[in-house]
Amino acid sequence: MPDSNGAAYLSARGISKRFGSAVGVFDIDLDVEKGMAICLLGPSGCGKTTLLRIIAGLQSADSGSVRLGGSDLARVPVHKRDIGFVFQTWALFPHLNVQRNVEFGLSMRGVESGERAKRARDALALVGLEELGGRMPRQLSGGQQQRVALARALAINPSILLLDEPMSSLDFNTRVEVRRQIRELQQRLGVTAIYVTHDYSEAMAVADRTVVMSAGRIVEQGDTAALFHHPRTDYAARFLGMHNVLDGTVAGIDGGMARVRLGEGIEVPVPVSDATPAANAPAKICFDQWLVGLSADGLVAEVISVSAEHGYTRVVACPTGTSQAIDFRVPGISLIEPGAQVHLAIDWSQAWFLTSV
Amino acid sequence: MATDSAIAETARPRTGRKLLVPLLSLPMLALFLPFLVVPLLLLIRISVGGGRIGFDGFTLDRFAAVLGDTYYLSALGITLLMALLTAAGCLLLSIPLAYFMLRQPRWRMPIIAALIGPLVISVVVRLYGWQLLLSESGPVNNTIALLFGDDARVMFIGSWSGVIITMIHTLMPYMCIAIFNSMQSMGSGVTEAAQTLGASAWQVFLKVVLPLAARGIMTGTVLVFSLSATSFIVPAVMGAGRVNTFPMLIYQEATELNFPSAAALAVVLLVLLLPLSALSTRGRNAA
Amino acid sequence: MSATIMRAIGKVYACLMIVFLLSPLVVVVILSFSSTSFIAFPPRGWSLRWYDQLAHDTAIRESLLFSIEIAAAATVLALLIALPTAVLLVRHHFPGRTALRALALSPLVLPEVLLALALLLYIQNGLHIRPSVWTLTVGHLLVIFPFSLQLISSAMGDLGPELEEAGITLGATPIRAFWLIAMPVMLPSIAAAAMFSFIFSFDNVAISLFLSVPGNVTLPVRMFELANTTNDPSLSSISSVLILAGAILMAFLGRFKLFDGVVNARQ
Repeated sequence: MPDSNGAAYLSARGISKRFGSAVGVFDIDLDVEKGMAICLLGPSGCGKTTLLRIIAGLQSADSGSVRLGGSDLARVPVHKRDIGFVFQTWALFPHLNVQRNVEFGLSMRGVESGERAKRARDALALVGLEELGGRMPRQLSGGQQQRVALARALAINPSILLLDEPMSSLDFNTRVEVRRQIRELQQRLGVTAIYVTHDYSEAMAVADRTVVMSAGRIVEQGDTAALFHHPRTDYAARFLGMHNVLDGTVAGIDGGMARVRLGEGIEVPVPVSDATPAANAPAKICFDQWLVGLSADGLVAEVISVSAEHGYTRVVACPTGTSQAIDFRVPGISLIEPGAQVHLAIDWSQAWFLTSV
Repeated sequence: MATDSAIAETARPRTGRKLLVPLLSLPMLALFLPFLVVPLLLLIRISVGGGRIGFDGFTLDRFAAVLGDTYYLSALGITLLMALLTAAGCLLLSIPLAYFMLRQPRWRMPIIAALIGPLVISVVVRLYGWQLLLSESGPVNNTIALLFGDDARVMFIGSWSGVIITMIHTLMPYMCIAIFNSMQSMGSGVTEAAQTLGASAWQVFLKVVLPLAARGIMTGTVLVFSLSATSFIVPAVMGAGRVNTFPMLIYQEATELNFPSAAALAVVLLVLLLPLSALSTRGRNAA
Repeated sequence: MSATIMRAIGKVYACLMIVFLLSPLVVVVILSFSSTSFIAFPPRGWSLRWYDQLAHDTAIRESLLFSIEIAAAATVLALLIALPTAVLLVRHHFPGRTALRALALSPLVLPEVLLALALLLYIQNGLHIRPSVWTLTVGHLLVIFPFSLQLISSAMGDLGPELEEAGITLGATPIRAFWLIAMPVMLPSIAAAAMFSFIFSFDNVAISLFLSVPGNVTLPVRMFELANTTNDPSLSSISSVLILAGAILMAFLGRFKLFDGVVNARQ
């Protein structure tokens, strides 16, 4: 349903919920454009599932409002909201076969049986399971059950699709394959979707925008690729695990460059930005692990650990003069041993300042 | 964070939710309030009431009569003794059996079937069978006579021995299953760990299995003791009129329509046993 | 002592225990085929006369039907009351929840004699009515209700909220979701609850004795009375029929792995 005044398709404002003395979510604002897939990303307990369930109506919020397609959902009971929900455990009805499972939402809407069966078959065809209509859920593999759950949610043509860590029970390879299929389907159909996951590679694979959450609040959000390559907060940078975050102090600012002292005798130049603190203030800087290379001269560091990964070697080294470690990757197999002395060449012009959360 | 009460939380009008709880409790309360709570209160009332039907005023005479009379006291004492012996007998028989079930998984099914099977058949049938088995000319006595001569025949029926044997038979399944469950809940890893650390089978049993099964033993003992002390069918049948337990007295007073006396006896029984039962329930719920 | 000897002793012990547990039942069945009109064990001769007599015994037949009627009524009522109570206790948190649960399970904790007496007293001196089929049914209902409740509650607990939530997100009202999704999934447990409730009502002696309706007695009570007055093996035939029914039930339970139900219900 196109929105004429440019407001987001789904819009949540000021959502808060407490569980006893623990905070579930606190003062959350969220906007989702039509046809976009966003991901709520964070560790367990950060409130992402609570937020999703509040949007679905499965949980009531203490305060705040949710609007979908312009109308306030507060007055709308769950079963009248036009949402599709895929549960973490898929929640397929064990006493109904696949066909009936997928038809369920349609029969709740009073669709007559011939039409129902056709639309259910179409939904199953979307996920490539049109042959399995007669099977019972317990006869299906995990990946198949997942896809049936998706078909069931899509069959009713929902305004918005909500997915609560739907792939956490699948093994790695199935997960990679299934999420690729889901993403392709979501884009092709133009379905608006909100995913919840703790797995950042999943976020990268399925979402246009990513919302990083921690302890009930939104820490950072933005275009997925941009956020992953250039997180702005130290929480997100640490959570995503692809960058080095170093603590230091601003020694001085010269024009567009700030000198950051990282330790005894180590001062590095980092471009100034909005996030740069004043002189002598503590700072956190961030740079991509791939930007570190071994060279003949540069920052002297002692290697602490070496581990072989798929296609590269991960090295952790500690520069002399500081106790902070730097994580970096060397392509292929490396012969570096722990305890060795290496020289690190780092392109500090590619580093940036993080805001603390 | 889906919890059991999640569905209850499902966003719906406040008024709907407020009504739901009272509405759902209505059926149960409609049964229990008039037919359990009120009758029990009435029972307690007439046990402390004067007059023929127990509604006049307040008196503790009946309790004084019960607790002062050696007839009642000895019946009570003997009932409790019988319950104790039954519990002890069940314990002695159940612990080895439960341990055996733990160690031999293949035997579990047949043993559990033998334990539970008799429970689904009415107690009168089981008592009929015991009457046949323990009669003077029954198979048990015939075997005894074969081994020790005719004079060694034991009069089981009409004496405490018959009552206790039958009681043990009736209640042993409860004890055994309670103990087995608690042994099982500790997981097979524990006994194996003990063995790899060098404990002999006997030591494993005494030092590892028994202490961990303590909860089941407690629950089972309390359960068997209570059920035995409050049973009146078994002593009535196996005792053949020559054995009198406290519950039987209650039944007798009731059939003679001496409700206040029966009530007083019942209250005494309740006061003695309720703490025990509450103990075992707490244990069950905590588990 | 070596492990093998211990194991052998264990097996012997287990066999002895099984014999002990089943012997009263076996003896009754054997006796039912006895030909003598006095009780003799082992039987002197074999015959089917007691079964023949049973087939023509109207008193026993009436009692059997009466027991079935009462058990059926009590079971249906127990299930009807246990369902909403289970929903209440499993899914809702409210002040007084623990107390209500304790009340619901109290018939397990209270001595049956006490319950029976209290009920009889209430009927006679409280309500001033005569014991009737309905009062007897209520008595049975009280005693079998906790078993139903435990079985259904446990099934509901295992079910979890997700299936119904899925139904609700797909457009079912909470009540419809319960009826279309939760109930069918819980059906095996409900069936088990029905079965055990029926059995425990059918087999009940204590309540039936206290609240017996003159003229119409349940089968166990009838057998209880007859056991004291008859000197022939006639009771063994109906007993054997009941034993057979029990054995069939056990086979059924074993097949569908419902043993846990009996165990958990009592505890």
